[in-house]
Order: sequence, then C-alpha cells, then structure tokens
Amino acid sequence: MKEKKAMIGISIFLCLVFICSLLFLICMYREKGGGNAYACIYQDGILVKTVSLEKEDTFLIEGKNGAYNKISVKNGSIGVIEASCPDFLCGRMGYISKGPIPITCLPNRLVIEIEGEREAGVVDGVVY
Amino acid sequence: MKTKKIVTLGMFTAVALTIFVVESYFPPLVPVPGIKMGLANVVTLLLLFLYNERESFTVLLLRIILGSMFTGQAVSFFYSLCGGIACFFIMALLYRIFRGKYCILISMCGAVFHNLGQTAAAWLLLGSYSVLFYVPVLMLSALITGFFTGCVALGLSRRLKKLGYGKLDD
Repeated sequence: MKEKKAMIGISIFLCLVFICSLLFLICMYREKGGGNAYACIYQDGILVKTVSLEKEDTFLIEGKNGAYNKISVKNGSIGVIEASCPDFLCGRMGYISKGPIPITCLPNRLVIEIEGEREAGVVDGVVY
Repeated sequence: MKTKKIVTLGMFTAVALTIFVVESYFPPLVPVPGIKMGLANVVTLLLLFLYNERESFTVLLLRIILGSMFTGQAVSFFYSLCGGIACFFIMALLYRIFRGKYCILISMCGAVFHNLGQTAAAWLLLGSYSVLFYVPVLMLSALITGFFTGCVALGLSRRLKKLGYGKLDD
C-alpha cells in the first residue's frame, strides 16, 4: 500500500504546517512594541519615507499611473485611510503600532513596516 | 482535438471564470492580502479527477489569463499565475502518487502551495521580505479553505462520473 504510506506522510506534513503556523502566530502577536517606534514605507522595494509614530501626520504616497495611498499617523500607530487600489485591503488592515506584521497594498506595491526603539534618521552607534 | 473535448473544456473554463469573477467581488473576510475561498480551484481539481493533467492545466491557464482581464487587475495576474502553477504541480504530483484517492488531502496541499507561491510572487514584486510574516495566517486559511474546496470537488466528481463525464474520446 504505497499510497497509504504517502497519505500518512502528507497528513503529518499538513498537521506540522498547522501547528507551526499557530505557534508562529502566537509568538508574533505577543511581541511587545518598544518606545520611539517609527515606520518605514517601501514602494517597489525602495524605501521612500521614514516617519516617527510619535507625532500625528497625514501624507500621500503616490505611485505609477495615478496610484496613491493616503497614510495617517496617530496615537503612536500608522494606517492607510484612503487608497486607489480596488479592494482597499490596506485600509481594512487598520492601524498598526508594533510587531513584525506589515501593512501591504499589493496593487500599489506598497509596504509599511514598523521598526522599534530607534529614532528616524539617527545612526545606531558610531565607533572610532 | 475532438469537438466534444473543445466544447466540454470551454464550458468548464466558463464555469471556472464565473466562479473566479464572482468571488473577486466578495469583500475579503480577513484583512490579510491573499486570503480568499479559492472556489475556482474546485474546477482545476475536478478536471484533474475527471480527465487528466493536460486538460486541467489548460483550463487553469485560460482561467487565470481571462480572469485577470475581466477583473481588471493586471497586478493580480502575476500573483494568480505563481500561486496557480505551484498549486497545480503539487496537486498533479499527489494525484499520481495517490492514484486518484484522497481528494481532500490533495486539495489542502494545493491550497497551501498556492498561498506559498503567491507569497513568493509578492516577495519578488514588493522586494520586501516582510510579506513572509503573512505566511502563518495564509497557511491556516489554506488548510481550512482547502478542506472545503476538496469536499466540493470530491462530491462533484463522484456525481459527474455517474452522469458519464470523464470520457472525452467517444
């Protein structure tokens, strides 16, 4: 019964996928955000803007062919409030303030990542 | 190509396309890019069980090309293509190994690899590894949706085989 063995193998593989995903998810959501967090905004893989999450701000990131995302920073978190993409999934993801899970807008190729405990535009450390 | 084959595959393409387009109008259930029910995969799986790899792959490619035209999202074409091809190859391989059994398992594996392929495409296009943090959520959703699409495909293939589908050469 070759296919029965393969079936058991595949079932175990799927169970492993399930357990690993759950563990990773729990770890990701338990991560605590540090102070002085700032957000990096990438477009087509290129860093276009770094903003501190400390002060409130609203700005527009424009892409090719009239694509745009209106991004708002408030209460130490960042989110998309208006966008040209058809599904508006980036806006539905809400505001994020910590953790490794980014906001992405696939149609406009935009990624917003949170980086914690460093100030925007400041070098980590300088060694002489 | 026999006329019956052309007509049958054309009909299945229309069915797959309809499901694909209607599904794209549903609001996303979870605010994570890439999560959807994947009902159009039922047709791919069904054709794999009724006929063989070549027919299934043809309909899959036609559905992805026409589907991204009809939904009007040129970007989603690349994501669908990477996901669809990854999904198809793992399903065809498992279909060979299992010799036509365990439809639901095949569907679940297909869904998992579809989402992996899509994430890889997003990684390439966005040039940012941070999309990989979506993988756990995508895997969980793939296991759930894959289970249900597998059930649908299993039920359908049994009924359609009784009705005499599954032979294209007479």
